[in-house]
Amino acid sequence: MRHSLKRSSLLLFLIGALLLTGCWDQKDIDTRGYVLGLAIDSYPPDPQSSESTGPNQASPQEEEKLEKMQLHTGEPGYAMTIQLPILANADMPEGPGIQSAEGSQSWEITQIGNSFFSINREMASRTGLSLYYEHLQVLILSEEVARKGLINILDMFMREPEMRRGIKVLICPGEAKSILDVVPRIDKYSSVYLSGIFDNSSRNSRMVYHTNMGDVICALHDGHDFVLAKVISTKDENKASGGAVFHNGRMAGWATEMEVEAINLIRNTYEGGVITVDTPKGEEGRVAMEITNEKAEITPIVNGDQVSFRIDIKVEGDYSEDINLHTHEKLSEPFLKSLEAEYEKEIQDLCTETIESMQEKFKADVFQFDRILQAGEPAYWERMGSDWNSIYPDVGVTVHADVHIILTGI
Amino acid sequence: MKEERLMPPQVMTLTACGILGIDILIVQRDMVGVAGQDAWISLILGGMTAMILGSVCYYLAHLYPEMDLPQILLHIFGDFFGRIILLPFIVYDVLYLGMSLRIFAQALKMFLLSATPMLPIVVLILLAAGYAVCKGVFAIGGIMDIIFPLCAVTILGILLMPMNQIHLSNLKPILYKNTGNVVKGILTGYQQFTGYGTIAYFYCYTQKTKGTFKWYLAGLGIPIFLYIALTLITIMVFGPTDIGYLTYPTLTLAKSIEIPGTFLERAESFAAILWINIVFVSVALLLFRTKRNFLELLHMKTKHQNYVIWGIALLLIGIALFIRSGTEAISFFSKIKKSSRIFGLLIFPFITAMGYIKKRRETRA
Repeated sequence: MRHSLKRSSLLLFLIGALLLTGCWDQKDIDTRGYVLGLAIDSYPPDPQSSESTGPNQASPQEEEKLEKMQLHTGEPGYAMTIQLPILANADMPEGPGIQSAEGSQSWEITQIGNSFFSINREMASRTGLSLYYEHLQVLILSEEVARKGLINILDMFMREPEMRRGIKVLICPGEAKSILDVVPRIDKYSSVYLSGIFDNSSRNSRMVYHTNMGDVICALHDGHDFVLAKVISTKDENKASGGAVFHNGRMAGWATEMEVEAINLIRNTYEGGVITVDTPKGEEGRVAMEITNEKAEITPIVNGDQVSFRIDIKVEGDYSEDINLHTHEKLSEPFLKSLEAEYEKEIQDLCTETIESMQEKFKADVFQFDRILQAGEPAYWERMGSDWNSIYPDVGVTVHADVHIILTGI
Repeated sequence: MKEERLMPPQVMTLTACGILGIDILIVQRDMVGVAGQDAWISLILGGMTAMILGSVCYYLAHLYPEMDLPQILLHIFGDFFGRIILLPFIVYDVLYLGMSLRIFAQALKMFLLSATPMLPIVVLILLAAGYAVCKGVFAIGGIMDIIFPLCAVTILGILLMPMNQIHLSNLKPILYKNTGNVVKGILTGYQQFTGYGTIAYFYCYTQKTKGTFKWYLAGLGIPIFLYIALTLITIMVFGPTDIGYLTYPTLTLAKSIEIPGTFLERAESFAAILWINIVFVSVALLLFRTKRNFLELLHMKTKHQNYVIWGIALLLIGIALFIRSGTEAISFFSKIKKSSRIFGLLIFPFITAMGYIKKRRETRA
């Protein structure tokens, strides 16, 4: 009896070992295609932004043969491009000089279709790698695609388990694919380079760093307007500056760098940055303050069916630099107080102008006043919420800034 | 007289593990579906209800300290009626366990093992849980002692890591024209904690001391706290509308954790691995309960328990894989879960009342 028990235990162990040594999901690391960046363009492309081909590259006709796929239904509407690192070339020297197909460190594959999931699967017919999206850093959308509306295209990115909510969603004025084509000077891959730029949000307030897929999905589901980061590029450089304004899930226009700075100040998404003002009296000097701490409080004021908002912005910063001004004897208390007043005025003017611009130009509630009303004034929202789109452009907003200079340097 | 005795602190781990289970993945969706942004209030009230009714269940076990639930039923209601009352317990446990295995397999497939069929996932966890049950209650208690702290720490990690993404405004307005839904949500909240009934199966194996009840309450309180905190954080991170679109909000919450640097981009894999342990202990406890129910129903001797365990395992595989559609499986699981209210609110208090009367008569006689 004991003998047979031992035998069955051994059998069970062997079966277990057989089952557990490898599983259906086993995948060797070198057979995975780690998608680092993804760009979506409209198709057919705008003729003005057509891709240029180098001497060793295939002709546009040959390229298009590869990129097109047969569709079950409808016409192709989008071109999706992915960036894959070529791990075999990972040790090669980096930089814009390395551009030949053999020496390239990444591979950009474009596929045309009308469903991103089927485009993704069609790409499998062009690479021996199994595409893997867990390490996706950036999703770049062309302006044309963004203007058609995000809710139409983001479903795969919400549904697919490999997609992460932290993927950065960026909008590009021209062809989105061109951003992936950038050959960075320091980093190996343009997607990683681009994603890394947003780590500087504590030093530069003119970029939208709250640009994650998760934030976009929440805003779309809740029906809030929002701003996403704008990105432009040259052959070897990207710049993430300014923003794309979204109203009702569609891109409504571009916000300037300064407007993004104001939006960050109002929405409590200001991580850090620099504000410069002219000296208060007489001299043609200029003083830069690095903002180290910022807090905005938005208070809705409801009076019957009328609503207005008061925004109180408290800012702390350090006296960082002066230009055309020799202040070593002048950093007196009255001078700093007058400087603080200048900063307050600058912030108030900047925010007021931005709010007016968003109200008039785009009718976009990127400050999410609607969210504040829903949470803080539910009775008002219940009565007037359905008319918010027509109420918002005329809503009165007053901005009050309170600035304190803390440190003055050595 | 039972030979093996569980220590009073093990009552806490067993009770907590009996409550934590597959529901940890979907508790927020169930609650927000009923009470919106006030779901956490319903969960607090549901948790308080569970504390009260859990105490009733403990009292029943305390009345007959050397018997487990199926033995108590046969003792109070006699061999025939006792078995009749035992039947719904068996049906509930088997269906709940089978569908838990199914939800577990499909969630694991979705997030970790996309190419692995569900059958081996279900079979492997049943093999592990079945082996633990074969080894007896003391082995189960020992496993819980190791796994429970790891699980609690993991859940706390999932709660704390997304703190930088929370928006307090997602909780507002609080109780604005939503009181009715909050009250409705109490039952939904309560049903998340009906696993407290596990005490009726394990009390007879426990050392009886004055502190045992306190350990039991602690075992009830820990999952209540964790579920409330999980629901609060999930609402604050995603908002009530977005939660409605998420199939497994807890896994999405774990996925939303961003650790600076690129060396740990899939931190949620650790959560998934430890979540497998949570499901394993939950399955082991339910399998133990089902085994005990079947042994008493069929009047079988303990030495034949292994046949019962593996027989139940085969039945569970069939139940787990019977429904093909994932959405239907989740919907069926919710219906089964709803029926747990009948046990907690009606059957257990009824058995306790009958047990009390019977005990008084026995004492007088």
